[in-house]
Amino acid sequence: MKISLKLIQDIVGVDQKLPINEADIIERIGAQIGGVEQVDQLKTIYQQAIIVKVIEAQKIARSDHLNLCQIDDNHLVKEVDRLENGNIQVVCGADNVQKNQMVVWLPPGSVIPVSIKKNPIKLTSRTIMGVVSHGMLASLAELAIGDNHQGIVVLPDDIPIGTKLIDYLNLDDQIVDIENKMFTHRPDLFGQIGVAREICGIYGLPFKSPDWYRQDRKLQSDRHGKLKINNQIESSCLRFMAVILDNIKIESSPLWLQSYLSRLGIRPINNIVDVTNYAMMITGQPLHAYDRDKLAPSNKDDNLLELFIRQPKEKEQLKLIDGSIIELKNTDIVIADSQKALGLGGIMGGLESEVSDQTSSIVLECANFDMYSIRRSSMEHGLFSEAVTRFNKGQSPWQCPVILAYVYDLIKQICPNVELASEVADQQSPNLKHIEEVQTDLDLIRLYLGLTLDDNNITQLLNNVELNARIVDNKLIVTPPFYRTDLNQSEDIIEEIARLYGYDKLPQILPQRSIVPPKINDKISIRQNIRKSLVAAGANELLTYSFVDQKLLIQSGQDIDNCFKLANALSPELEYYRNLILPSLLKKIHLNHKAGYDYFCLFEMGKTHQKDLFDQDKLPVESERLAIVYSAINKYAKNNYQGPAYYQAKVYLDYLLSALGLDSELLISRPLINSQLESQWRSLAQLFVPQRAAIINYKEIILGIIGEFNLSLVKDLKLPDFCAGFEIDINQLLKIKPENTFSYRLLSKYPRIIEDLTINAKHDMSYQQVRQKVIHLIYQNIGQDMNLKITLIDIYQDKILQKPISWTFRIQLESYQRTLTQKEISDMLESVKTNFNDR
Amino acid sequence: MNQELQSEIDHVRELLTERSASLVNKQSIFKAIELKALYDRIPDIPLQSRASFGQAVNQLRKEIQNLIDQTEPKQENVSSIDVSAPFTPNCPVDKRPRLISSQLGSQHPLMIELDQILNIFTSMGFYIVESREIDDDWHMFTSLNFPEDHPARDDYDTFMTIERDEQNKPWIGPAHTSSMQNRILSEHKDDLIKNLPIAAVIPGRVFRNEDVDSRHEHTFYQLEGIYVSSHVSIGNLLATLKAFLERYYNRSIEVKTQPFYFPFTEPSLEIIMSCPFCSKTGCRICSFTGWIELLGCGQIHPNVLKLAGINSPDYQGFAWGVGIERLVMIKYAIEDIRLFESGRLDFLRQFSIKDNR
Repeated sequence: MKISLKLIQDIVGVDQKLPINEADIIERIGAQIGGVEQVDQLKTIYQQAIIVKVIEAQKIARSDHLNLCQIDDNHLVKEVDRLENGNIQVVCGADNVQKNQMVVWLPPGSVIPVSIKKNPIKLTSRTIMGVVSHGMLASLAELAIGDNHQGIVVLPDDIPIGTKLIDYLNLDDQIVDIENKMFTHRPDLFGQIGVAREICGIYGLPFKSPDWYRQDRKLQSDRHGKLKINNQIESSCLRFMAVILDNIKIESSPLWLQSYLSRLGIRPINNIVDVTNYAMMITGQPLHAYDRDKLAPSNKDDNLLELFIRQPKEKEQLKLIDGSIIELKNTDIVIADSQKALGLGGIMGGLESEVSDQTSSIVLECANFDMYSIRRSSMEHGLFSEAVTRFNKGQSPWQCPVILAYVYDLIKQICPNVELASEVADQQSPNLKHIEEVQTDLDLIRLYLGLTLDDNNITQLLNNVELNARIVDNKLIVTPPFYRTDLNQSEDIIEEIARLYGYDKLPQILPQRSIVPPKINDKISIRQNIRKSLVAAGANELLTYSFVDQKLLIQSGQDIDNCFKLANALSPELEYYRNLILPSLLKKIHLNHKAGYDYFCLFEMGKTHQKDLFDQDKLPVESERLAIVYSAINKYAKNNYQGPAYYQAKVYLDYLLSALGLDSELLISRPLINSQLESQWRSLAQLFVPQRAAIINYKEIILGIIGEFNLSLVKDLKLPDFCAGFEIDINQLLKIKPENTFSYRLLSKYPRIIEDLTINAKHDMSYQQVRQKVIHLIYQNIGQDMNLKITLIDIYQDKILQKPISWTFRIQLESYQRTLTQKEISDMLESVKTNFNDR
Repeated sequence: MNQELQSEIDHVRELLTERSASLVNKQSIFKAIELKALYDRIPDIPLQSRASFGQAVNQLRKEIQNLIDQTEPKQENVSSIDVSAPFTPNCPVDKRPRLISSQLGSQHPLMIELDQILNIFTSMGFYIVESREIDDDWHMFTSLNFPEDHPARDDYDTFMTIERDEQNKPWIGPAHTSSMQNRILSEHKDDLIKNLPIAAVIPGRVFRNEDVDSRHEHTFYQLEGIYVSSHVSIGNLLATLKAFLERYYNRSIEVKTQPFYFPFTEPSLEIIMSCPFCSKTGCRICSFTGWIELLGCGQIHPNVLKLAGINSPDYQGFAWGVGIERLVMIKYAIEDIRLFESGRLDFLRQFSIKDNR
């Protein structure tokens, strides 16, 4: 929303002078109205432009379009070469240049205004076709006032020669662009009057709306039976006012009008369109003008124009003023005559009934539409206009009469012969809501502000912005003026007071609180534990997007039909919600090896979703996952490891569980190959080579799957051979995690025995089976009341794989009861060995 | 084709066969310059032997392809292992799997900072509730006083799924952590009767459908905070956020406000803080203004409280939402928000214990 400080000052009026310091105004706007996006100093753009008189203009013989001109600037510009007669020579390419015209001259050294923002062009004195030309004579387009390139701008004769353009057009102005978002609930601030009022409010100055801006002012007409409104959708069109005006002469607008429109970002078109746009910029109320002669009369009466506000007919089309043709939708508000659609109500007019150079009679519309209907319709067609921006914030329907009267006045200024040719039609929907007074408890105001403002202070702040505030019985009563639709409850009034007083002046005090300690969030705690443990083991935590592409899902063997798909994805790479974390992690391996990292362990914790799982609130289940992957390039792996990468992943798994305080004896790695799996784990299983993967069980609970990745994934994602990882469900982990990470066992008073034991077990016995059997046998031999620690120190397997495998364990043993004898120990070891060999 | 040409091809065959054995990406053998040279020679070969030479070169290409296909491992051929063992049989001690040096490890910077932020708020009495990554329209919008078709919905470029919920509305990738407000307020409203405040912070991943550049990401982390009690002023909100910022940046910070608009707060504010990096002298971080627009906040709208079953105006509260990336980028002068989810160790290992050797 652009505002012109010059216009604001005009509206505020001479009695109520705003501070001279415009920088201060802009800062206060930021602090108390809304974020300032940009400030344009028009003064610097136009400071050198001068109004001059063309003394001589002659075609240059060798050129088809250039004119050699002499201009008189009243000797204002010093640093320029003059002719003997004191005039300045300028070559001008415009075919409308003539002797005795008043025109705008941009002297050498000035920058062409239209070029300033893109690619500034600085004018010089230069030789064109053998003659010297100083600066240029400017067109409106070059001055960035409209887009008229048709020749230079010619001004009225009565301007004194040498007048600065700045003075002539009030260009000593600053255009402040305030973020629209701030005004979502303030439709009145989409007009300069509204902002002017607020600026006075924040300076503590009483604002008085312009005399013409009063609720009781309306346009009167003594013509009857010429115009009728037929509103068939009163829920969407809340008020529709219109009047027919004759004796219209379409021309370019006066320069002051064009200049104000351009600086507020509106392109000047012609006097009628410009006036409606100007009124919108001043008041916030969009208007529309139709060419009366292009509208069909009523079916019943040729003298009557009947306008319909209706739903579209089936497959009805409309050509809009921007040239596009749309098929109208059920949600649209159609403005129509007896035969055809004329415009998309509140959004954009139609091309066919547009005001053109030939127009001599217009229908002027000032209407109000339901903000939600406007937004629906605008979104449906992707149509956004200045009118949409204003209507979808909910303009007040009570401002229609006064604004219609205002526009008529403006038209009369520009087309003095204009005549009212119909009654002032005014159709009001029964859905129109009156603006009600709001009562607010003074105690609530004090509570919100955290301070006590005296009553006068409060009412003064509000009355400065014309809110009709008064205090009765410890209650503040506000009767919002006709243009304020946003004040409905106490909090709205408190916002006004706080903002106008200044948020930054409110006392900043911390809330008083009880010292009850906040409860711990287990999920966050366990993730913190996991994170710290893994980092201590050299792993790097990654975060990757929750969205993945179809390709990755297919590469990792996933069923895309079970993944949530975005309807409005930013790109195909971000189309699906991921159902697993590991694939995203695997995708980050190649780039890091390529960047020179030979080996690393990556992990990520995140949420995953799949379409067939819902929780008790009927929301999709959010599974909390941890994924880890270890990867090393071939050269590094060859020099540092022997055996499958699987074991490297397993080191991390064992470490992690023990870091969380889980007993690793209860961890069971069940081969994935030939295993039956519940459906929720099947998608994860797809990632692995079954011969090199295991289901991670802790007691009977499945935590996840660990393994090496299937070969097509390895190939597609350019993974090195030595690469393995796992994904586990953190919620499952939470179920089994002990309260304490550490557990304490009594220290024994008796000596500790340390012995190595090698047993030969059949080749098809797994490590887990061997180990459990060893433990079982030791306890059986020597008693349960022992502190036993056994560590695998070596595995030997013959080249002939069917031969038994030798397992060597280091055994640490101490009794809580007695000193163990050497004989007891050697008997025990012998017994364990024999027991294995016997089988 | 003469002997000379034939032996030339044989030589290349030998060369490529040998080389392919040591290649990781076997397909890259076809980029060998020797092979290309053979193809390049075809036009120069005398006409009578050109065809046969061409065929022979093609034949060579096929042979190499076959060779690669044969050496490519087949999944069925991968041998089974004992998945319960800690290492492979006959493995020397120095080649066994092991954890890597803790010096290489790193937490993600966002998580390090989030932990710290959560610690500060926990110490101030706020409990932690996490937000969802898929939610419904009601929690994202309606429960927060965004009526259907309200223009404020446009300010949140929200991701929606093709799939629909029971109300026939698409699921939503939440664009703010405020989507948890109604749940927390409803769940804890009885605390208010016991004269305890509702004080919660809500960290979570949020999404915006907007173009990505060095300052904008479609995926980022937000921290919501809500505080409801029977005596809450606007100044309480400002003081709470200021206290947090001063603790987080460990220096004194000035905050000022600018009016804003959110449907779920009234009044709504944007907090601007003095630049903690340069202490208002002007630097790259604050675009040489000394001030940084940081976060949106305000007093919770009575409609939001009512929708959660809390009596307004008996109780009031405030809420805020702050982007974690932004806080962290300011703290470390990180120039590009896209680094956070890039998965690049170049970035991540800057947050590990420095190895100064």
